[in-house]
Amino acid sequence: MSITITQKELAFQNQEKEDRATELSIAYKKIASQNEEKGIRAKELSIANKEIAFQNKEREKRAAELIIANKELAFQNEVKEKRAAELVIANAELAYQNREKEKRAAELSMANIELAYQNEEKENRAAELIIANKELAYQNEEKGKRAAELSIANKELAFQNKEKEKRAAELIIANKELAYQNELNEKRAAELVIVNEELAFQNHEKEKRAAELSIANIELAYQNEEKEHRAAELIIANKELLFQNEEKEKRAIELVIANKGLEQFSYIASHDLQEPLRTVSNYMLVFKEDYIDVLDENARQYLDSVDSAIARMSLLIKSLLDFSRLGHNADLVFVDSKVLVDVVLSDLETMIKTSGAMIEVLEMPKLNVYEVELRQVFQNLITNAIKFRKDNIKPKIEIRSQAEDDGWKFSVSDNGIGINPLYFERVFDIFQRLHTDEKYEGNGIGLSNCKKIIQMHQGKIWVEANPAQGSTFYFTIPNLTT
Amino acid sequence: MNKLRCIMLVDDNANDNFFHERVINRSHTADLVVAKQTGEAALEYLKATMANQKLHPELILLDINMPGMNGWEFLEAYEKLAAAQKSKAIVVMLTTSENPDDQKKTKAMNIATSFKTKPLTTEMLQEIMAIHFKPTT
Repeated sequence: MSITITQKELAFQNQEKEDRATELSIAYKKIASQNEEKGIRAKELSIANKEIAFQNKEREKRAAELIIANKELAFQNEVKEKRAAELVIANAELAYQNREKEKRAAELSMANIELAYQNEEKENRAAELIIANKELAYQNEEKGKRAAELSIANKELAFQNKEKEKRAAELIIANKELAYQNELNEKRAAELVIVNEELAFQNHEKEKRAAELSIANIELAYQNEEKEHRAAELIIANKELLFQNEEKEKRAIELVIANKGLEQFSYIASHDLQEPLRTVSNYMLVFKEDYIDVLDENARQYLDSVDSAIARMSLLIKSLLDFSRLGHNADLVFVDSKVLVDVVLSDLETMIKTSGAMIEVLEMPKLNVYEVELRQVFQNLITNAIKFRKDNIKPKIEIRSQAEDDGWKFSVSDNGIGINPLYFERVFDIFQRLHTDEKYEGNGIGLSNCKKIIQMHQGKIWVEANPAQGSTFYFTIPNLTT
Repeated sequence: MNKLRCIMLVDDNANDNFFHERVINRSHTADLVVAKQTGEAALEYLKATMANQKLHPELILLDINMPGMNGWEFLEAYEKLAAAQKSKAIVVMLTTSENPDDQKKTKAMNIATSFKTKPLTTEMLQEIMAIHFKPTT
């Protein structure tokens, strides 16, 4: 702006200078014309000196006019000098202004560099913005998915709201019901006031009881403590029992093995014992056949005793063998025990008739048994009941059965000589006899066979007896599955 | 009673053989009694005498418990003999009372057998003769 003004000012001043120059040119022309006039005058002077005098006078007039004109020129020069001084100042001003312009240009260059840097930064920001935009796009997508999920959730909420409204409706009905019940409750409350008075009285009673209970509680606490002691003792006892059971199982297994071993031993022993005995027996026969005629009566009696001992030993060995074989190859069969007993009775027909025994068989069950073996049990028990009869009293025998929780209990009772309670157990042991051969014959194996057979059936056998009434043998047979 | 030409005893027990032979002789059941103490010897004898009617046994009394070849093994080997080498009947002489397990074994074999328990008696011989050697009148 200031430049423009300054330039206009300069233009104006230049115009002024030109004007002055024009004026000066005009002035110079005037001077030339005046000098020409002077030549003319001089010539005219020569002609007219007379005129000169006049004209001198006129010159002097003219000189005065030139002085005035010079003064005018001096003044004009002065003005021109002023104008020049003013131009110098104006030029200095212009130089200053140019310098300022250069400074501004330098500042602009700096500003441009700054701008270029800022543009670069802006581009970096732009690249960052592109990444940020992609991120935003992804987030928008995610928001879209969430929105879809929210839409489903909203539907669910809408459904739940409907349900809640239904519940609310139901609650309103329930509230009405409650209001009605509250009314009833108030009535009850009034009644309760009366009841409370009663209760207050009862509470008093209860406090008395509470005091009594407090004493009882102390007693209970003591008893609980005792129970805990017992429980602790029981735990120890249970552990001990568990250990003992384990031991028993071990013993049971060992017993099974031992029993098998014993059976095997009995079989081999009886089998191998039989052979030399038979040889003795055979040679006894040969000896008697060949030499009986040369023996006296004593010698013959001795030989008879040897024979009966051999016979008895043979019987014992045979019994031992039978005992060891009991239960081999036996199968459980469903039988009518009545029929089974009838078969035994018909086998023993001669003995029964001879002894005049009266035998009554009451109701008998059908059940699973080892048939041949059980028949042997009945045969032994019935035979014993006849054999061990009192002198001069005919045997009376009752065979009964009785249902039990898990099977049957059988009994064979007689009116015989009975058994001393001391021997209730021993009668079931093998080769144990209570009587001499002279009185009651036997080999002491019958009841031990019975015991073994009943044990095969997982049952028990025992005897109850007294000399006045005779003996009753009981045995049980549980329900067995084939 | 019919009289057999020859009876063979197969038994390792010499006492039993002595006694059985005596019973047979006293009851006049056979002209000849041959006693063999092993199954192998008995089989050899059967093969060797097949052509000789007087020496070839018509009846064999067989013991079961023998060392080496026992009675059952003898029966298995006997079954494989030619018909001419065989006798008419075999009686198994058991040491003790009858054992049903053992008797089943012979049912599978095609051999005329019966089982008796030692010692042999005259009555037993009569029974055997009645069963296996009925007179062809």
